[in-house]
Amino acid sequence: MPKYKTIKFSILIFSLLTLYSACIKSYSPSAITAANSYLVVDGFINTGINSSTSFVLSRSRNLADTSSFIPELNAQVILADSNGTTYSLIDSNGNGKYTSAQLSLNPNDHYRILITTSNGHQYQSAFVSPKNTPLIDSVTWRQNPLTWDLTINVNTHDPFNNTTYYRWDYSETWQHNAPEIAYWVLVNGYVIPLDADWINDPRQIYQCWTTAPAKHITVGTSLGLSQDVISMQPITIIPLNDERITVRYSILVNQYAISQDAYNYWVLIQKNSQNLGGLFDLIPSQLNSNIKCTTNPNEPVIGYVSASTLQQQRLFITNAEVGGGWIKQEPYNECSTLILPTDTSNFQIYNYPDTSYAPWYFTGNFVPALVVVKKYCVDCRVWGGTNSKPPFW
Amino acid sequence: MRYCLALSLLLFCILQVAKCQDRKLISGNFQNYSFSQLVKEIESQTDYHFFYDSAEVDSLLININVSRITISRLLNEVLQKTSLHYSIDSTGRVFITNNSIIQTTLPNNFFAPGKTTDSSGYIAEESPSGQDFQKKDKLKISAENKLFEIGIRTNKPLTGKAILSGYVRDVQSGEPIAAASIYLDTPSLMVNTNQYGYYTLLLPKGRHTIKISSSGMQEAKRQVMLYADGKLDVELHEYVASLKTVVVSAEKASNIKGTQMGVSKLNIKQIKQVPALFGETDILKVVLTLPGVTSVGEGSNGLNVRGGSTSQNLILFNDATIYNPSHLFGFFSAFNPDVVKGIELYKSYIPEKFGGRLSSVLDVAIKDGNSKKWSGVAGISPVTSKLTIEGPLQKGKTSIVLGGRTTYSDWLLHNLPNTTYNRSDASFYDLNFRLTHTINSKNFLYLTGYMSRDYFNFNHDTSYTYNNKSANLKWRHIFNDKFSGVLTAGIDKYQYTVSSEYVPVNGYKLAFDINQKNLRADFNYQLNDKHALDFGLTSIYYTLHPGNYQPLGQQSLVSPNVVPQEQALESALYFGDSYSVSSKFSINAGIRYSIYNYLGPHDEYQYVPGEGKSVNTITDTNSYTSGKFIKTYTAPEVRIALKYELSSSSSIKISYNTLHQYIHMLSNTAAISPTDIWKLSDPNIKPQSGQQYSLGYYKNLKSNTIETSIEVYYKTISHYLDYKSGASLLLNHHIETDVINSKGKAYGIELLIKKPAGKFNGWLSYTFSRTFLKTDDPLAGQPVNNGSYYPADFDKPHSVNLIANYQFSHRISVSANVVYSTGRPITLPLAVFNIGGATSLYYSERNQYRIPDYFRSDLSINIDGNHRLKQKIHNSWSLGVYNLTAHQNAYSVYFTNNNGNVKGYELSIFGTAIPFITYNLKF
Repeated sequence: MPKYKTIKFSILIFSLLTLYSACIKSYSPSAITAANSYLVVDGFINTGINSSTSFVLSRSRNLADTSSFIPELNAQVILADSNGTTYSLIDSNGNGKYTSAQLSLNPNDHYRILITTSNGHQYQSAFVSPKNTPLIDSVTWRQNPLTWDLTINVNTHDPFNNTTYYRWDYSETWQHNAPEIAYWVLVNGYVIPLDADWINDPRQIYQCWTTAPAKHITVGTSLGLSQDVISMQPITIIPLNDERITVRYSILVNQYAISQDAYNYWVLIQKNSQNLGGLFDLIPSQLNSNIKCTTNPNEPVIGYVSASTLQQQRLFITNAEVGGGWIKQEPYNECSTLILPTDTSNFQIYNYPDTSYAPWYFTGNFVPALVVVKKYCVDCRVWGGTNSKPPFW
Repeated sequence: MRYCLALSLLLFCILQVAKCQDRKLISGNFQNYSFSQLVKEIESQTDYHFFYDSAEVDSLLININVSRITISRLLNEVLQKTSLHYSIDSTGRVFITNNSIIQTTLPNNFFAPGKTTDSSGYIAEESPSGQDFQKKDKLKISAENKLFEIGIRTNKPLTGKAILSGYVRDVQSGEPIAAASIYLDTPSLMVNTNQYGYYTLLLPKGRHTIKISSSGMQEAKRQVMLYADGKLDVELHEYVASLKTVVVSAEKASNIKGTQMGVSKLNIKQIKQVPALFGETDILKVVLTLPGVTSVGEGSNGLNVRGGSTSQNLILFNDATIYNPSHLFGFFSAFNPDVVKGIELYKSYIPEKFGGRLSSVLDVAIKDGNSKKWSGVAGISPVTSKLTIEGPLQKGKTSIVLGGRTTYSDWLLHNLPNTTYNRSDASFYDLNFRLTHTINSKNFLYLTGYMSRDYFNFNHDTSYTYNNKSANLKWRHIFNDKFSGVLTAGIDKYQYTVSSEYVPVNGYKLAFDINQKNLRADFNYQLNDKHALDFGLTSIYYTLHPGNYQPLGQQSLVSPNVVPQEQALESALYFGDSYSVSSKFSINAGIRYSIYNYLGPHDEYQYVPGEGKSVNTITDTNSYTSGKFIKTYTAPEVRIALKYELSSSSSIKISYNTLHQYIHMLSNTAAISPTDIWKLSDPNIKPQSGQQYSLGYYKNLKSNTIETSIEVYYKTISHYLDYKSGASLLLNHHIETDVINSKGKAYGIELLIKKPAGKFNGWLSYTFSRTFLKTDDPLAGQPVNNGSYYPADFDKPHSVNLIANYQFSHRISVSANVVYSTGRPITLPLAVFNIGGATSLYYSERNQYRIPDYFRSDLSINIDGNHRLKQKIHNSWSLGVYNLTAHQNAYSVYFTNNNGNVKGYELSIFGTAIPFITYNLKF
């Protein structure tokens, strides 16, 4: 018999339905959809002389909740030392920020925070020993020579080599001007001229100042160095042409000495605030607070209570100082004008119904006509901030 | 048609005398009977008539108690230790002869001389090598009834023992059959063939009946008269459903008699029975149905064996280390089933010749190729097409196998209505090459090559490519009957790249690769009937590129980031002894001494002593030049297994293992598509070590037709790498700052009920297994879950697998596969909060929650065409449904942050029932 070949043809004739029947559906197990409203304690015990201690209490929210901030109101917040002396922190503005009177706490004592929320839950932090925060040596800035992005750095050192772990936050204030100057402003329905020294007239709306708190957490350590020195620690980065340095910019850097545990805690908070779901993602982190709920030991509490003195330093940067041709990049806004006839009885009366317009100047030879313009052209407040100059400016 | 079948059955019956003769059963207690008394008794109970020479039987004294057994079984027993033979013809006449067998029928090819192919139950047995016994006898007589005389015949009383060795092969292809069982009832003994199909048996001289079985093949037996050391090659026939043979009691009792424990052996025939996705046989999917084996989810890369991580398995494809054993992110396995011979999975007693991984060894063997004729298998489906060709280059000397598989799923994806998918690409291919060359009867060469590539691009965003490449050359030398060795040299490479140009400014390409150069020498030495020794040495030289991040595209502003290459040498010396203390008690004991050298060039970071390793505690960098031995780790590893046979149907086994692993995998499972990187142990990262205790009880029921087993194990692991909270794994130049030394413990119980043969066959397995880790690093900063034990990523307590096949008739069979397992653990983000100006997430404790449980059931029906043996074209249908209940199992659970709104998603790849129909043609 001749050799025969065995060839098996396996033919998949058809496959019903689509082969890649993949589906992505929302994943929301009960653990995620639960309220997950945990107490968040944000602040520190200020052991400086004649300093007040503030804590902001808020609530965490579940992932689906889009509200930005849920303050915890009507709580009793008490600062206590190891001898049982207590100081109350009061939310005088009703916004969840509880502040003590001016105190001069003994830096050799131990302190803790006791909280009773309006729902009756009680919380207490561990006793923490105050740390002395060394002075800030300098706050400096530097631009990346390629991108011209600007980095604010802090420099500090502890001559006693005691601090090692640091945390910083900051408050930024920057001036921003309206595209056009209006020497006439609207006050109570009348178009009023500014003073001759218009720039210092409190009614001016050309110059505004916006103040914003820190948007991220910065911690640093001198561990591994032979001296307790922090050099060129980046605090924040301002990208080229950012509005903040279009006129003048200021940053107030707050420095806190913290314990190693507090440092670890803040590092995790820092990491958890980054993006998720991508290839370069980080492993999820758990947070171990030093605040416990005494009425329900299983209830998570977020935040880490530290005690230290506060050191601050302010830095100013003007637009002329920075390189890279720093200009505000903004969407093109046309400053087209309208000319309105003025009221014959009093040309200063303003009753143009379109509130998106603002008076700019008067024109005309004999009968004045009012030139109005889109409000964003002359009123810096449209862009945010306030037109009153901060005291430190 | 019906007539033909009847005719062929009739023909078959005539030829298969041995099968048709058992028409009457015999019972009785025959104590101190002479042979003639026995004959009288049998003749009174049955219609048989005996013809014998009383002088030849007068010395026989019979002591036997039988109940309803066949005449052939009775005569086999009675004549076993004599040189007497019996033959029975179709009319019931029994002929007792000395030293030769009377042929009661004409040879089947008597009327057609020259026709050598035989499709009946007769075995075309070659004469035993080295013997002239019936060499000239070209008539094929039943090998089963033939007495093979091994050695020079002598009339002296036989004392002592002799070695019988040889190959077990497939009669059709000449392919050696690995892991075939060769066993005897008296003395109770069993050995398996090695991967070359070679076996060695040490037996008392004298007459024996040897049974040879391998699943999917017809069981065979041989009558052997052993005078001295010699060879017996056996060829087995494929079990064909149309032949109404008593279905093989394949490897009957092998689970009881085998000395190794926790080893699962499957050949490709068993693997092919399991219903598979798109009808594409998948080796890993079948391995996943074995007790003690789980996977973290559908489409995940790899296996978790006995609570080990996927990186703790050594996956060998003909001695090539495979780092990524899957295609398309785990939907297909990287092994082309048409070139695979079988698999062995070691999960408790790991033979000393293997090492370097903590959990298991999965040894996938490749076919040697048909040494008798050219043949091929081709398959076409909407998803894949494949072609395998095998045959002799030089008949009997050199054979090759060439296999290739590719997919055109791109075409499918592009035709889907959903824009996300039709803008995606997915493809893979794999190629296999195997050359087997027999230099002479003592020397053999094997050259093997393998290559696989995957490409995946989801929605034109990120592209993933990965490759496995390997090649090796083996030289097997037989020094003598007792001593043989194999020398293997090979290279393996695994690489992947991830790239994206979706945002041109951020265009990047990330590349990773790992390279191995392997050299090993393995020897077997049968010292005497009690001791079988194996020893050898192995060495692996690693070069690893842990990450190369480069800009992609002209607009990309990405700055390059290259983690420097690392290299290491992992070597081991091993020695093992398989010691049969008695027929019931045996010991396998081995020691492996592993030596690991981390080599320069390398820049090693120094950290503040006594402080946790972090970027902030780096004090200095030590630079080492090329080839410098930076750090050496050595460790002895102990492997012990004990077996005690409680009875012929039950045994108890104990094993203890210690293992070391020098290469670690780091995997970020929180990503949509997990990307794994491997890390070599270095001065800052210690090797993992583990030990395992296991205990098993094996019981066969209903005369070995049902196998049951229960195995328990307890494992400890040291220096397992888990990640610190907030760890960053990719492109990390100092990964030691982001990992934590953890210790682990794992325990479990595995239950298996298996019916290996019969109309209804299959297995049901249940595994309970837990794996816990605990931060074991006083300097780790914040220990995971406050330093208490927590479930590992792959901790899946319950797992149930059912594989069931039912043969309704010769032509219709149904296979079902049901899988259930607990969902894997996950760390969930629970809440969003604002603190210190930042918006951050509050996560649960590590692995506190679980993703939904996994459940899937598959069904397939196989309908064969007729079974006329001489027919040229055979056809069959196979239809089935994958994921019958359309359960939406989670492939991946991940969270994304869209403008501060964090949302969880569950991605199911096969979210519906997927029917398939396959038509097979064989000619």
